[in-house]
Amino acid sequence: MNTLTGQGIRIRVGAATDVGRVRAHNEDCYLAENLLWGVADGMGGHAAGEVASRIGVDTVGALAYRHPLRPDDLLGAIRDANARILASGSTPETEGMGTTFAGLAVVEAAGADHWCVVNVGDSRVYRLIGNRMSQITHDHSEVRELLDAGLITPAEAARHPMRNIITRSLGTDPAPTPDVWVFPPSRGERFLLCTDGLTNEVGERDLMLALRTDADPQIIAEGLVDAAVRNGGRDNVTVVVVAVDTDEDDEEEADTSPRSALNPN
Amino acid sequence: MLPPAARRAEIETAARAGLVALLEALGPRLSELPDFAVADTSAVPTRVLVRGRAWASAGSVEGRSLGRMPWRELEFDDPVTLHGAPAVRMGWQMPSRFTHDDDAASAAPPAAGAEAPAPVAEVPAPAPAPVPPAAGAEAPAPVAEVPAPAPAPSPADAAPAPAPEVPAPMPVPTPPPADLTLPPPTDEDSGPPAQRVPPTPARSTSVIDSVPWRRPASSTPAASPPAPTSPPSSPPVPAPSVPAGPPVAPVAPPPPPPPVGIPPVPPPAWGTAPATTRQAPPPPPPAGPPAPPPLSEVTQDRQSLATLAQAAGIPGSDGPIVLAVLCPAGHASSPHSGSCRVCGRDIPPQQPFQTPRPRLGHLRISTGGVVPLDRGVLLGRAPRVNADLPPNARPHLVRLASADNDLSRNHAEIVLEGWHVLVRDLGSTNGTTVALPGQPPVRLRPTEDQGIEPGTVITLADEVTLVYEAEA
Repeated sequence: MNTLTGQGIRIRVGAATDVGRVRAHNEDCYLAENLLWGVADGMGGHAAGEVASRIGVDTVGALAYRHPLRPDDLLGAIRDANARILASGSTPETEGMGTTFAGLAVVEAAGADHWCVVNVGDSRVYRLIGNRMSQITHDHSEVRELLDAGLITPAEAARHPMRNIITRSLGTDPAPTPDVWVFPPSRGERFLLCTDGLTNEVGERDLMLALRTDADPQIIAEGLVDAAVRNGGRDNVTVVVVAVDTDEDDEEEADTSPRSALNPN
Repeated sequence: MLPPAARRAEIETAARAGLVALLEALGPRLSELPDFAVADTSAVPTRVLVRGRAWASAGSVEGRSLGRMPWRELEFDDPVTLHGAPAVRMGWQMPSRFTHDDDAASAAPPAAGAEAPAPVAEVPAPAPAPVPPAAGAEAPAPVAEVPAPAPAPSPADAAPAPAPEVPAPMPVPTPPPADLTLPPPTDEDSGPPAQRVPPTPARSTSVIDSVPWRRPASSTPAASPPAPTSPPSSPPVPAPSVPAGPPVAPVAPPPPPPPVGIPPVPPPAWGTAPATTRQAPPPPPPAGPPAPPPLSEVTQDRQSLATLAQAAGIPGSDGPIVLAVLCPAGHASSPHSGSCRVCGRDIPPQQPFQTPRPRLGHLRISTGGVVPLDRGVLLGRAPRVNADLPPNARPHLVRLASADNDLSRNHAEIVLEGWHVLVRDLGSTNGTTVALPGQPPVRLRPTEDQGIEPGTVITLADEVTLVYEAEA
């Protein structure tokens, strides 16, 4: 599969968000435009979080129709979003506001379509291929650092008092360094982008089971948001599901031809 | 390689198992052990080992290694205080989040005046050991506690001041009786697990204040790939003598710049009492803004929390950490570079500090596009990595179109190690060549690492070329 934009490729997308049962505002935002997707989990007093996550999504979303889109374009947009959030945070209501951002885009690398995943904060991108789902972003969070250091167990992480402390976010000075991953598309891939309002309420196994059903991505996204709200809805919940369908055969299995066989001299 | 905290736990566990286990945990080979002072208080007299600059004292009696290798063994009847190197004494301390509730068994500190900053009472000569016994030494607990190597030193942190391998005996102050410390490692690549803070009296609960923990990035074992070599004529790259991977063994660092702003004193600085500030101010940090007040909302950035911000160290330090120096424009470069890798300016002399590794440039691909070198890159016709690799360990994967399947599925890899950019052929069918700037292309042997510098052209199967470019 060498392209995500050619004939025979269908990308289906579903997106849903909910304020949850506890919070007064929905400070989450999502982005699903053309070949660019993202979720943002805003934070800050009053409604400032909504402002920050909206700035994040809009700034990155401005790239939705750029062609060719490059990984550095996304990184530049994230830098811009950080600066804009800082600049907007000058009133007492908005001071200190910030947001996470986790995004997925189709970018061009080596003349071919590739996925590009970017992340700042503890929103997540999961990738399902076959029956395997793995988180492909690395949480920028205090509990993730404690987990990595072996100081706490995953069970403790779920209840840890610092579970809501993130170590990178947009709206900070110095600007955060986004993580970025570039990788080629594979057949039958699906992606799940979500804020922690989903992952704090729904286990990864249930996420995987939902993601691999044949249902339309929109149905999957709404189902996951409903599940999170049903399980407590203690935070805003936002989900974007991206499914790639293709009829194309995979050419990857062909063996490499020794050049000497082609050009005996 | 273990992350710092895991390394800490390893050493703690080893310490509980006894002296032999602890020494084995400190280093695989005797020659690679860091300077240390360790006390076994499980019996009387207390058995003490000191190595390098670390030393021990009991009352007014001191024991130093006197340069003996691999260590010098002493016995004390009095409660023993262990002393580290200057960094520890001069105001390095663990981030608070690891110091609040260390619950490991602590070596029994004697009571008297434990926390008081030590007066600078000059004791003329290092006393030979063993020393005469004194008042009833209470030493019930075995050596156990190892304060944490913090995972995240602040970017403002200076590196631990390197010091001569062998300390000369010199006048020392009376130490605080209960301070049991180990020095930070001399290995500059396993930088201090510490954060620069104003000098404070040392805590009374620790046996070991620093351990030779290694950075998570130090994943290369001693048998690391060959060091990238570079022609001496190319200024932006590190000197050829720099190992490719972070050295496992402590290296002999250059002598530290003398502390500034203080009257001349005999080096090294380890004889100074904790309360005496004589260390040079740190290099101007890339300072963040004052922490905003805590927010009421659920999710918060660590920067917004004053207390945590202090403990946090390097923001976003979950990736590789490197030692860096700053050019006048604020770009980070390897401490071994004389000029900035970004703008080429001369780098003024300064203390290196630890920072998350910046992006090392990018790879421009002949068939289009650039890939950032913030992580490694795996290139091929159908590049794949183990799906179980954690996100932080995953390289970029770049699929290269190959009309005649000349390219192998996993053809070549760009590997980042510290400040070095290496290229490795993954046993490809049709090979990889590397042309350093101004040099003819050389074909790589499979799995051989070749260090490259900006301007290097890499050709895969004579079909696709990649150019390594520094940041614009």
